[in-house]
This record gives sequence, C-alpha cells and structure tokens, in this order.
Amino acid sequence: MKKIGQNGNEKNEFGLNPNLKRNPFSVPTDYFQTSKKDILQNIKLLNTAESTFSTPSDYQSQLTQDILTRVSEEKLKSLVHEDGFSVPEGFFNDLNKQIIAQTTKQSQVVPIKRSKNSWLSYGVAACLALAVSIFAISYQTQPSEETVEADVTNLTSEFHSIDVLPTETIINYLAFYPESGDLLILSDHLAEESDIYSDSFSADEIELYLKNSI
Amino acid sequence: MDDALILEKFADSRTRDEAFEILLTKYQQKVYWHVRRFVLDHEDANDLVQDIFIKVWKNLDTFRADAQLYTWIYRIATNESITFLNRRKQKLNISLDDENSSYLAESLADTPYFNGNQAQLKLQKALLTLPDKQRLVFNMKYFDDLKYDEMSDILGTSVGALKASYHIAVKKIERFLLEAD
Repeated sequence: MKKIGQNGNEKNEFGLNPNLKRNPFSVPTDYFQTSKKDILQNIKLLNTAESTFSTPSDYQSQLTQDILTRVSEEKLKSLVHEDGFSVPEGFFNDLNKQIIAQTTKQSQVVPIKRSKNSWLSYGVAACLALAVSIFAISYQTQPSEETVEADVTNLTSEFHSIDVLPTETIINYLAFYPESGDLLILSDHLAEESDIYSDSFSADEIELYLKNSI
Repeated sequence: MDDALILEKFADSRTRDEAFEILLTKYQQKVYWHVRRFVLDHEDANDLVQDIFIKVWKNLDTFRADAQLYTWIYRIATNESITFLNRRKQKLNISLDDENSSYLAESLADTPYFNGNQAQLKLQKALLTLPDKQRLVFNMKYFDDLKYDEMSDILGTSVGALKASYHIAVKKIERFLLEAD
C-alpha cells in the first residue's frame, strides 16, 4: 500500500521513501571487467606456486611423528616441567672464581698438582724415546735387513756351504735372525773358522806380521 | 656480549682474561645444568664443569669461527661427561655396551641437592631406564630446549636419528609413568 507523506513524497508501507533503496555506493570505472581478470590471474599464480613447492620424501609421515612427539612432550611438561635438581647457595659465584683461579695458575706455568699417573706417563715416554734412539743408532750402524738377506742369499747360492761365509756376514745375519737353531750351527762354524786361522800361521809368520804392522 | 666479540677479545692477550670471564658468566650455568642432568651428582658435575672450562680456555685459540661457540663448548661438555660415565662404568665392571643407565640410581638417591617433588623424581627414575645417549638427547631437547640442528652439531648425529631417538625416549617415559601410577 502506498502512502503519501506530508511533503507530498511517496512512501512505502514502513513509511520510508523508496528512493532510499537505491545503492549509494559506486565502483571505479571498468572495475568489474578488470576484477575478473585479476582473480583469474591470482588463481593461476597460486596454482603455479603450489606446483613449485615440494616437500622432502616421507615428510608427511615425519610430520605426523613430530606432532605426536610434541603432543606427548607437552603432556609430560604439564606434569613435570623442571628437573628438581638444585645447587648449594652461591655455588655459581664460587665455581666462577675457582675456574678463573685455575686458569690464572696455569697461565703462570706453575705446576700445581701432578698426579702419580702423569709422572708415570713421563717415565714411559722417556723410556720409549730411549728405546727408539737406541734402535735408530743401531739401525744406522748396521746394514739393512734386506741387504744382509740379499748378501746371505747371494753367498749361499755362490758357495753352497755355510763354511765359506765371511764371519761379518754371519754376525749381521744373526743380528736379524737370532733363532736358536741357527745360532748353534753358526757358532760351530765360527769355532771351526778360528781354529783354521790358528793352524794356518806359524809363530815366525805371526812375529813377522806384528813387526811390519806396528 | 656477542660470541664474536668474546673471541676477538680473547685473541688479544691484553683482554684475554676479561673475555674468558665474560664467556664463563655467559655459559657456566648452561654447561653446569647440561652436565648435571647427565651425571646427576652435584660434586661430579662441579669437577667436570671445571675441567670443561679449563679445556675451553686452553683450546679457545684453536676454535674455528665458522662453528658456533656454544655448540663447541657443549660438544666438549658432552664428550667429557660421556668419558666420565664410561670410566664410572668401567670402575663398576659394567660393560660399555650395556645400555642401561640404572647404575646412576645411587647418584640420584645420594645427592643432597635434589629438591624435586614426586613427579620430578619419577621422571628422573624413568630417565634412568634409557641408555645414556638417549637420556642425553632427551635432556637436551626437553630441558635445554635445543633445536635438532644444534643437537646434531653437538652430538655428530643426524637430525633424523635424533628425532627418532627423542620420540622413542618420550614414549618410553610415558609408558614408565603410566605403569608407575
């Protein structure tokens, strides 16, 4: 039912001017044409972004486990959040001072404490150094193992008998292969060799040699 | 103070002592609690923390700046603590392969510096059912709130292995607490 107001304007059943129903808002020119384009472009961008990102393999199952762990952790933390341990009063101040004192002492290079073990380790180190030195000296003064072995092989193949080996070669060999069996055989040989020398020169020959050599 | 500045000061012999004091103040408590939760006894932790910081002081010159300072200190602390517990095991004639931490139950019972309530005591007892290294992982995550990346740097273990270890530890503790109730 239409009504006419006092000023002669038409009113609806609630007494409002029907002109008020008109939308008072406006949009920029061509808004609806460009907005559609913008929305479609954004969707395209979103799709591209989603297809660009990926996750590590097994990520989803790992994530599930991580979340479950966090849930359990939170439950546990709601029951027990702190460990319950304590320290004596003023402990951290004292600890700080103790450590500073130790570093100061050490920087002055004053040996404050030396345990039995450290002396023992020095002793062991000294013994090792001595042993290595002795070995190095004796190694330098003696022919190498390979040289001796080669000498022995050459000589034995040449003479086919231990009796003809020079004494020095035998001694060098013994230095590297001190087996009891060898020692017995070679000591017999050395004894025989010295006997041979003693028998080969007469007393006059020895006297003449000594006169010429001194 | 920033770690880089501490290192810079430590490199200068005139400010070395000052730098070490700053470092000590910054990390002393963190290191103590890290060690204490692992070895449980206060006196043991006290001795270890002193040894750790003497090592830090002696080796700080050789520290490579491409690593995090606190990670490096934590690594020293962890190694010293593991060595300490291994020695303890040897003294008690326990095989190093034995993964149970129950040999520390005595330390927990004897320490005068445990003021925890029943729940906290239960949690510590539950932790003693874990192998030492798993207990370490749990403590670092649960109490120290360290990130897996940081833990990985300190322990030299992969992030995945640490996550799995922590997950299992939490489940074991949950089960222990349920059974204890």
